[in-house]
Amino acid sequence: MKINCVINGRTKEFEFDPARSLRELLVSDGHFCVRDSDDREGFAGSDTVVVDGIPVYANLMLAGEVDGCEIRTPDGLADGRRLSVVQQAMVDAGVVQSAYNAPAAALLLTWLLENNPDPSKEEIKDALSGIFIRDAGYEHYYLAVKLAREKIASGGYTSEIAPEFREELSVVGKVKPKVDGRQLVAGWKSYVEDRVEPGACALVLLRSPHPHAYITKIDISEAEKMPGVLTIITCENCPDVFYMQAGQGNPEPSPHDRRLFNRKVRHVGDRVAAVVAETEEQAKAARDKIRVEYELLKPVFTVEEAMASDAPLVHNGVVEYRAGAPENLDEYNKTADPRDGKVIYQFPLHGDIRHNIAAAAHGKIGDVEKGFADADVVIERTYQTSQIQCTPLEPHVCYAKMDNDRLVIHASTQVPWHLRRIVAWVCQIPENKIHVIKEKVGGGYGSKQDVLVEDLVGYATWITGRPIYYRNTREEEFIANSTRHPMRVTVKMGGRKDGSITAIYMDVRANTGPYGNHCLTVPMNACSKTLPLIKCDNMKFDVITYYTNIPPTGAYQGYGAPKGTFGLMMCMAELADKLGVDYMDMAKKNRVEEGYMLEILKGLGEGREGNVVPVGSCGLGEALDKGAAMIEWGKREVSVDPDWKIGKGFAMIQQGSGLPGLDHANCDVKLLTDGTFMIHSGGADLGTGLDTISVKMVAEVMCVDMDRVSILSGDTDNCNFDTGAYASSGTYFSGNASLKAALDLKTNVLDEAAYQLGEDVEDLELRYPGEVHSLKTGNVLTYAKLSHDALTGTGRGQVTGKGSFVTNDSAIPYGAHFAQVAVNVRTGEVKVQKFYALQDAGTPINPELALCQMYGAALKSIGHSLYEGMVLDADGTCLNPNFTDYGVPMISEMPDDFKAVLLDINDAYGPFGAKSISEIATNGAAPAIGVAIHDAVGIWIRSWPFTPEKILKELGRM
Amino acid sequence: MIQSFYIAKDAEDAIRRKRELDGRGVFLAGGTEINRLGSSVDSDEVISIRKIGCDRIDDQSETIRIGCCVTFQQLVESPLLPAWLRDASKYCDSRTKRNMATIGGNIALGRDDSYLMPALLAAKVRLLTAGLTEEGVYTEDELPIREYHAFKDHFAGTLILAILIDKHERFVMTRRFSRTAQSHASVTVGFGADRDEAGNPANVRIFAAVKGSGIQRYADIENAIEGDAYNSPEDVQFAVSSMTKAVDDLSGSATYKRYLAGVAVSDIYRMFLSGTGGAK
Ligand SMILES: Cc1cc2nc3c(=O)[nH]c(=O)nc-3n(C[C@H](O)[C@H](O)[C@H](O)COP(=O)(O)OP(=O)(O)OC[C@H]3O[C@@H](n4cnc5c(N)ncnc54)[C@H](O)[C@@H]3O)c2cc1C
Ligand code: FES
Repeated sequence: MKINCVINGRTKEFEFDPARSLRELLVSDGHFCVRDSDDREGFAGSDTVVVDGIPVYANLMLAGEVDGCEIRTPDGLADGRRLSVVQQAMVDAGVVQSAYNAPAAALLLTWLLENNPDPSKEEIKDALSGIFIRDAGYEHYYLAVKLAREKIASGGYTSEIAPEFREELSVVGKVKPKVDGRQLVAGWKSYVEDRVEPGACALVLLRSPHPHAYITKIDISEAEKMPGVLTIITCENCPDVFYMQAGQGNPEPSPHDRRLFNRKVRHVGDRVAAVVAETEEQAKAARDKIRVEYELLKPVFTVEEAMASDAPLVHNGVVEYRAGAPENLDEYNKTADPRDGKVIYQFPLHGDIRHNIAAAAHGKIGDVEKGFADADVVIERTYQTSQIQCTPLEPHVCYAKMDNDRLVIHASTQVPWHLRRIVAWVCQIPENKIHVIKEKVGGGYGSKQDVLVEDLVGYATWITGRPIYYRNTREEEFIANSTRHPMRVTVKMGGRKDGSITAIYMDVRANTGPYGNHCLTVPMNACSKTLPLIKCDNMKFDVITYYTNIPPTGAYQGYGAPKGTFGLMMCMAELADKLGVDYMDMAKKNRVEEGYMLEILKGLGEGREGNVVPVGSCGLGEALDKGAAMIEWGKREVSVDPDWKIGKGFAMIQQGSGLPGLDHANCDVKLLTDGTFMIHSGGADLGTGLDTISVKMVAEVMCVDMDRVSILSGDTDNCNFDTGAYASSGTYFSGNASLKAALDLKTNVLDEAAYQLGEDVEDLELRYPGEVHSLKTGNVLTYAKLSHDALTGTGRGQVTGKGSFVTNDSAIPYGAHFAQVAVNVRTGEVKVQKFYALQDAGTPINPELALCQMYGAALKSIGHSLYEGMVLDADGTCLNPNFTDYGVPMISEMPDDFKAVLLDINDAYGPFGAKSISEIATNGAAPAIGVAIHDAVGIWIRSWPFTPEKILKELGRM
Repeated sequence: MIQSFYIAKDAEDAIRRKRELDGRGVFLAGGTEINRLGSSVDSDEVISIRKIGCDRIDDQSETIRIGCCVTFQQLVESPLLPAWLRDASKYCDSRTKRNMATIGGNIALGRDDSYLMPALLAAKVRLLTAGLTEEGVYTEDELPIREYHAFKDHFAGTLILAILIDKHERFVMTRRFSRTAQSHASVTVGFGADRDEAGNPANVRIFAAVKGSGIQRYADIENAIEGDAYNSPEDVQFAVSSMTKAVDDLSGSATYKRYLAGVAVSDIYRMFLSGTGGAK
């Protein structure tokens, strides 16, 4: 059918199948930023366009319907390279983070302001009600609208965007546009999917319908004959290489317990075969022809089932150790079934796969039994967390191709170097044969710390020599991706009537699912990021992680801390209640303070002895004081409607800043010939603003504007090694590497200037806007001249700086999150009326981005506290593998009053005093809301999510 | 997978086309169901009805006439419409989806988590439908929405042209329960009633869309309320809970759904008795 329409003001005529979607039409016309993040579910709004003045979802409209219509797409908003007022306001407000939906949101806000120049908060909320924003929460979108309105009215902003820090510094701690904000908000090419070239082949996966089974026969003969098929990879022909997918430091504290394809499938959705074909349709058609026979095994889904004495074994293969093998290993392996493959520990993790135990850890300080004996009251409570999906808008995706004899991988990853190592290992090729290009990451939240698709796409490309594109469906994101480990956290706590805590015991039983990604470290984190909050001489923990047949788990923002914090803080509140002590008083009395020696950390290293360090900079006290004042702690609120009861709660929180002693970051900076700078950073910015941090480091040290500094990061050919963006390491490790590189560059520039000017280095300084100035002679040498002369035929060579950062010092961020909730005693509904997140991030280098990180993380954790959770049926099939059924929070779920507050704390070790910001912000909501529910209606809800149904049951209403 | 697309010029063209396609064709209105992942509608051939001229809300002295292609957002914005209908339209929490989804589509679907049906049924609205006789003669018909809903299969080839709301004073209220604003509802209830000259409840209609168990009518309870057999909202709560058919599923247990249906209806009934809320 001929379709005539106007797109972004240009008249277009298409010969196009009218029954295909409007999005397909638009993408075929180059509007690739009209995206789809939910496979046409009609939920997430990545496909929002405006048709005849009305916002619609392009996936839910047919191309034939727009004949004669006027269409606007997000990429039409910018005028060439100039952003629109709304787009710029979004960048300035800090909401453009991983930004997969930022272009669509910009279109909605533009439409709103064009039709309603003075919108109320409710009207903004309404306009954004159909778009899912997971990264930045929604709060600063209101600010973006305000800024845009101010700019339209007066040509500039009058509102404060965020508080600024460190008066003596010019860019660090200041509100400055994120360096990649423009491309992300404008919808320019940014993501892996934007790099796919015509002719790329497709890979699709055949996945297991069974939770636990041996593949007894797999017949691909018919499938191989199908048109377009290039290769089919199964357990019969894949490399016999065991590895694991978590992107962790090498040697990893997780067992190598899988191959690309295993003879045993261990969860519904596990890989059975990969089909590579010329087109996706051909690959899918061939997939239908694969015949598989299974020998079904009894599955285990819960920790309790896995612990049972007669439990089926999820892994019953041969156990090997690369170091530290126990003496009785041969005996241990006598009952191994070769069909189960192997479990190879890099070093002992105290696993016992013959009892489904993937890893374990134990530790203590003092004498807990004595501590309990000294207590006036001892309570023991068990808290259960559920399986939570990261739900990045951009699913796991990979495009790989060959360049001569090298494998080039365009990846959406938090760990480019671990990715390269793992793919090299799987393909059994050296690392110099692989080039990983980290593209913009459209949402990671931990799940892209794991190498979940690149292993296979990389291998398939290597063996076929063909460019291959693969993208998880949304359903695959749910069933074959990293999720939060479900955990059962039992806390025993003793306290005295004066509110002091005498002993704490934490028993953490974690469910790692089919494979052991992060099986030691996530559950340990439930203790290592919680117990050190408390000044208590008697503490003990036991951590045991079990294999089961649920969909895989792994890293998710906060790691184990949200679960541990839920258990520990709820138990403290319960103890306070039993003792008749105010919970706030108890928190203040028992919290750690600067200088307190964290002995408990000794047993909490990642598979090695942990570093015992004193508490460094610590904003915990200030967070509690300020938060209590903001929420009016102790004041009872009464609703006019007697069915609604109001309560308040809070939780103390902490995290880390990377893994001191394990993590490593590198950065190089070059002075270019015109006096500008190019950074090559190993850091993997996943939308949080890490590149902006690196640019700020160099601009600050070299006294230049930020636009004179450019950055390339996360590219394994062009940058130096970095362990990756996880464990809240970005600012502290990669940022410190950038700072060290900048300082090294400064030294080298001064040295070169001294040579060129014939002066002593001690007499020289760097000066804005980019020059060396002699305090002695008044001579001035611009960076441009310095660089030019260094690179002439007689010059001494390019001036560069190099920074490599490792440390044993910890920069622990602290905070407290407060909630006020209303609970309906007749319906069990819970409304979060107020949520205040107060955090000590050291010096917030990008304050506006930091605030949006906090809003995003807090809203995610409100989500896992109240709404989210994967539900499996009796056969292990996920019943809610889509956004609607799974229940992610949207703008309607935002607290009525939502505030993120950055406390002004300067850290001794962080770059310019900075600590990490975002992971910690996922830790507080569950206990804060849980305590508030108790305050409102007197019940303790001890399992996620706190659904109305659970509340009604606890209230005895049904 | 949609194979063909046809734009109907008017209502008659739409239903003739549908008959030509031997039942394989479906009317395409907002497309939010037809085109979505996991759609309940099998749609090889679609017949767009967006251009048949049914996208207005008209005040017609005794009634308000809502064209089938009126979107949820038009419903929200129309000052002509009663509050209960605007409230129910907002149950579709995504503005962008409200810009697309139509009232006709919602009625035709009659989902077990329907945004509008419990309220429309409780309000006793009437539908104007168009069809073809066996001989192929174009006809238009007016019928109660209850009849359309109760005999849905019978109306398979029928096009809903308009929704007619009687303008006389009637108390109608609706409530929806879902985990997030955009999750599927466990229960959505609609309660409608008039007052007779003595001020007693008359023409009571109670409906609940219960996820997994369909849209249910509580005729016995309606009669009991009219006949003064129930003394208090608590009686109604108990009766609704015990009569509600429900199953355990993702949206909640059967017990929870029964409980919610009872609470919601009794709360609305209480408001009706006290003369607060709900009246248009
Ligand atoms: C993420 C998501 C969540 C949803 N959740 C809900 C929900 O909770 N509750 C709910 O009720 N709906 C839900 N829907 C479905 C849908 O948005 C609404 O039901 C909407 O009102 C359908 O109207 P439409 O115009 O888009 O229908 P269409 O998709 O165009 O059509 C739906 C059906 O109605 C028929 N039809 C349309 N108009 C007429 C007419 N005039 N006469 C006869 N038949 C007609 C069509 O042939 C088709 O069979 C959801 C949709 C999405 C994408
Ligand atoms: S249908 Fe809108 S993002 Fe998928």
